[in-house]
Amino acid sequence: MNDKLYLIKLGEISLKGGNRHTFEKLLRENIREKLSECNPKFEYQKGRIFLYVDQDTPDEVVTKALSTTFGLSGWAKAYECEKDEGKLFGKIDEILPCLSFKNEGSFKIDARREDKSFPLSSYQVACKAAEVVSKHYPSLSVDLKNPTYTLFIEVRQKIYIYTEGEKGIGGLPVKSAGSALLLLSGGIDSPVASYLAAKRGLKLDFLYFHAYPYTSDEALEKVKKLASIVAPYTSGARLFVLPFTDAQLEIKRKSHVDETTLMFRAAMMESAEKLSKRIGAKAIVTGESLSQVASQTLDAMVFTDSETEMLVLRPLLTYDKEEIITISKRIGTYETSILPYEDCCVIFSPKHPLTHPVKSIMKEHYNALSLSSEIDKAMENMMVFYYDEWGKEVDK
Amino acid sequence: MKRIQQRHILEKYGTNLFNCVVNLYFDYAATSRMEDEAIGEYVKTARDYPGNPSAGHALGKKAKEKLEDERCRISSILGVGSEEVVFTSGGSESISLVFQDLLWNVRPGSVIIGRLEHDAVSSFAPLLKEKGWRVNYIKPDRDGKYDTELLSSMIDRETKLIAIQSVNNVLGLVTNTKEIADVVRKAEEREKRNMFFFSDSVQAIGKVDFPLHEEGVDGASFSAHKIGGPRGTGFLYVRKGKSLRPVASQGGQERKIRGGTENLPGVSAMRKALEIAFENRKEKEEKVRKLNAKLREGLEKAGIRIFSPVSASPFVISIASPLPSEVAVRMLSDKGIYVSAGSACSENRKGEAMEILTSYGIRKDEAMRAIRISISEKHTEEDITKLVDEITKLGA
Repeated sequence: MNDKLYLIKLGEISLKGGNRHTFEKLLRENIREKLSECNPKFEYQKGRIFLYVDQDTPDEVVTKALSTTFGLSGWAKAYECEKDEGKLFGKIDEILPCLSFKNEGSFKIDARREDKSFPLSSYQVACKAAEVVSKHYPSLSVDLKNPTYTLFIEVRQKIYIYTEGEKGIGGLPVKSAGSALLLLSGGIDSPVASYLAAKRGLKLDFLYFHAYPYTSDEALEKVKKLASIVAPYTSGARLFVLPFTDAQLEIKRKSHVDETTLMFRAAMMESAEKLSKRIGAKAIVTGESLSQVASQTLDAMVFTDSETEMLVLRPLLTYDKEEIITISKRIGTYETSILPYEDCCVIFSPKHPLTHPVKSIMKEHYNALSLSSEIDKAMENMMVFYYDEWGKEVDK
Repeated sequence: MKRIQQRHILEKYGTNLFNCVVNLYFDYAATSRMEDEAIGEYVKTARDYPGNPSAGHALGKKAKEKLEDERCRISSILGVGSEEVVFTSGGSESISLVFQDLLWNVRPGSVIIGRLEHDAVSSFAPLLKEKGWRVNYIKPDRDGKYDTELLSSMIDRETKLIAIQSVNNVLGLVTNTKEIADVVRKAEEREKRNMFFFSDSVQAIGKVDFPLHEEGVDGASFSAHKIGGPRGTGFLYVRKGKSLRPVASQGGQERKIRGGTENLPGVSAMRKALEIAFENRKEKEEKVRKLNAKLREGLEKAGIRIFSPVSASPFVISIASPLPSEVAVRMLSDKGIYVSAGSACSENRKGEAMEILTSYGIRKDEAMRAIRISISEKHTEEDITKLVDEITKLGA
């Protein structure tokens, strides 16, 4: 039996120069990992990839894999046949019932002939194909400007037939930009930040600060669920869970109440840096959005950034909450993010947190806390959860 | 991690572990472990009476006889007429049947609802308002007693229902039910028409002295699992001469008030649980009263604020823990002590208990730390000492 064929259109990768092949290779690897059980095979032809999978692979599996893979601008289920006039129109006749065409509206044939040795011109191919379509769907009219349906026919080494297909999520293949550690909370923002960071090719691992019993196991389960929803976009991920209770209690004990949130953030940065160095992450990514809350003012970020030597990326810095929510709904994290399990207990949330801290004073206060023993102990007791490229929790 | 190991132990050993720690279970107002004898009755009836009580054949008739026999036995325990007991799935359904009756009225009237009612009652308020009903609330004093003059003045020409619980589920306040019933009867005379005085008695029947006839209520709800019976079984007491019209009588069972095949094994088990609860009930209540006094003494000595007044039901006591409710519940749970959270550890998630506590006049910041302890006669003085110790340690 022949393999199923999908035509993948490359997005930004096709603009790359000499290193384009590296990006293409990563894209191919990312798709291969997701579809490993479907025996995927790839062929390249000028700005596009032909993906072959086992014939019995359900379309939904391929759709789910490709719709969560960065680096492609779109894809379509395609059909191929030998470069033979009779076989071409026979194939169109055969596949038309399988396409999404209905006997209402209009259509267009977009025929291209790269191999000029093919006896029919593009126009002739289009006219003959249109006759076949009209035979199946007599009520469909031809509309070359705004057709309801478009049937593409490309004469290359073989003849490829496909329809509009699906729009991809763009971006660059995960891993192409290196790896980073994202601070994942149970809120709306950080899962969206992970999506956007992965979109630019970052390979992400997640870090969650768990303050049991001040935060519940349900809050941890919620974060695990969020990690599993995002993991297909990040081509799998590890979720590091750092038991942060001792550090938080120490901060609460020793800090001025209005400074506690900033001290938590600084301690999170210090911990994230330690973990990043251990796992080889080159940057820390957070879900912060400028001035959204007290700890996300410019002054607050100036201070928290000063507690790490690492590059801190904030993909949501300039996003409004509404924009973040829109993406959150699109990627499917919203419903989980709004579950009422808080990631910070009310006793650790000051009523009037400091919004414009002075870096030098804050650094002094933070250093006086000397949290290294609490952070080291937390690192020793860290838990790790693994998610595969489909978001399934796996042993390792 | 130690905590995670403990959770796994719970999952692995389930009930056996529950047997080990049963004495430190202080959440009887939420639910109780089924009495072994009640389980025995359940199994026996399930095995010996397989017929549907509505069926015309011999097995059906036998089941019907058994059902009516159980009804007689239950009503005799309660000191009411057997025709006054309608079997339901428990408290919430019983309450629902009473409120559904109002929806039949073409012309909406008014209802009076106690300010501290369980959510199963108070959640009907928005629905009734939507249907054009006026909902008036009445608040009790610190001891849970309602001002009879105020109530009398609130009852107007359109009042159809007065719903005031007999024992409050969060604070244990004991209502002056009989006095309220007298007010309603006088108002009936004054207005020359019938009214319905409903009392959610889930925390009263089988625990405190609550003779339905003498208390004078027209309707009362009961749930078997609060006193060692099975979940999903309960009854609605409907005083002789009063009737209810359900939205649909479905199979016409239970005097057409509650349709559906009767849960005969559940009813048998409920009867057994009631027998056990009413056996030496006064002595048991006295024992719980002593345990409650010991608990109060210990807590007061530790400087812990007690919300429930001394006059409250000895079975329920709400206090301000040193930590937010949820945190306290988790920390105690990890030590094998099970209490109920009076509130959620979140500004965004206000529980029903929070509403009740603040309506009672408790400051919000204190209500956020509320935990409910519910005692049973199965507890010992040592259990109470252990409980006090552990609650005190929370503040350390």
